[in-house]
Amino acid sequence: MSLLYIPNSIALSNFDSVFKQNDFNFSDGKVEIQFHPKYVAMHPVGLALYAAFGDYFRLNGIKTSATINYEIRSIPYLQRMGLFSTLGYSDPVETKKHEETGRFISLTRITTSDELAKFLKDIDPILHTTQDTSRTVKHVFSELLRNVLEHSFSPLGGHVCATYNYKRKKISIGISDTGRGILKGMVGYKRFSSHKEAILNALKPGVSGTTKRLGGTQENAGAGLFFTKCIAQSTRNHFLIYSGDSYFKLLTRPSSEEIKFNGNPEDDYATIKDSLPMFPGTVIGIDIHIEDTTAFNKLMQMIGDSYRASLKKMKKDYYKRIKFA
Amino acid sequence: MKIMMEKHCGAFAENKDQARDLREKYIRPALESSDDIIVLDFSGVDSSTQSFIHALISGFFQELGETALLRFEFHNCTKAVKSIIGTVVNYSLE
Repeated sequence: MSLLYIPNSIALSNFDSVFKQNDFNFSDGKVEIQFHPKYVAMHPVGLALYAAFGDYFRLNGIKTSATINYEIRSIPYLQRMGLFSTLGYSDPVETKKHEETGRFISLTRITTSDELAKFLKDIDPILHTTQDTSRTVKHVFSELLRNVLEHSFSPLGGHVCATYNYKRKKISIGISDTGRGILKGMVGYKRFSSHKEAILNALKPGVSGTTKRLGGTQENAGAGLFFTKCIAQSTRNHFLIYSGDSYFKLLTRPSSEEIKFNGNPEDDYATIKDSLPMFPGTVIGIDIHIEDTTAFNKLMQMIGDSYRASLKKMKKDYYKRIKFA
Repeated sequence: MKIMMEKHCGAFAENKDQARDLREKYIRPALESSDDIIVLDFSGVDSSTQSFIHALISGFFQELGETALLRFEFHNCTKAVKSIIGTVVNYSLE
């Protein structure tokens, strides 16, 4: 029987903890889901990751059994966020059903454009945000979830969840799918030989998986992931994208340092890893501070300027495009 | 021709399917059949996404170049919508 071990702490800063004792190889068709015996603290990226595994098990007829210590104090949190039900289990403890107001968006499955539209409409009352403070957050949700709907080819759509830390004015978001992953999603642009190369290119401005043309098509500009990464950068937060055996993780920078939006993600202050356990799809985690965000309109303008400059540079860099044999 | 955007896409214009519909059902035929100015009226639209505005207009600005600046008018935009339109038009014309 394979093991899916859920560690005691999953955050964007210590995301590697999800690999602890795990190889994500479930080829024998049976999985024991084992929670850390003492405590489980989980950023929405972790919830989204395990929700995607739940889909993967269901799609592939993989049977699961789970072990959890009922004394774990975070069970009510995990339960309210929908983790157990998403994995196909009933809730382990009885809790009062709280209204999803002012604190979190539990794991929500999005399979259609209409479901996404409804989800976006409900954000302000759920998070107690206003149109003014949630523009950036809605932009991120929309761009990332439309990517899932348009490019992932996931038969079960995608998962989204979020928590809002009112004191820190920080929204933490997790989004996942069990689709074809970034590597296969990029074939329209170019066939890459590795997940890492595909992820790094997907983050470049103007690169769309739907066309070879830099700058995209009239349907896709190839800007969604670049804009999202820049939004995290602008608020000095983490951004993580994990697909196949690789991830890119944007690290935080001190407020004294000038913000620079790089066209090439390899120029970012980031961790890039490959040869990790294979994740069957794509998972994204991002934190956003909503109150210290540069006004949305100014932010869009800044990112847009950077998009244009980077695209121009990439188009002009003909040397890289000459085919030498 | 004037299109009231909020009627089609709500206060947060992000649905690219709706952008595509507006583009192909209304904007393209109007652009091709007359020299009239296309007015996109964003009254009631608080914000949008780069992807939505891109799907709505970038193709026309790429096809027509600066001529498109004479064929489109954007009315009653919030600062947020203005900045996204500015971004998309700028990169589409390069």
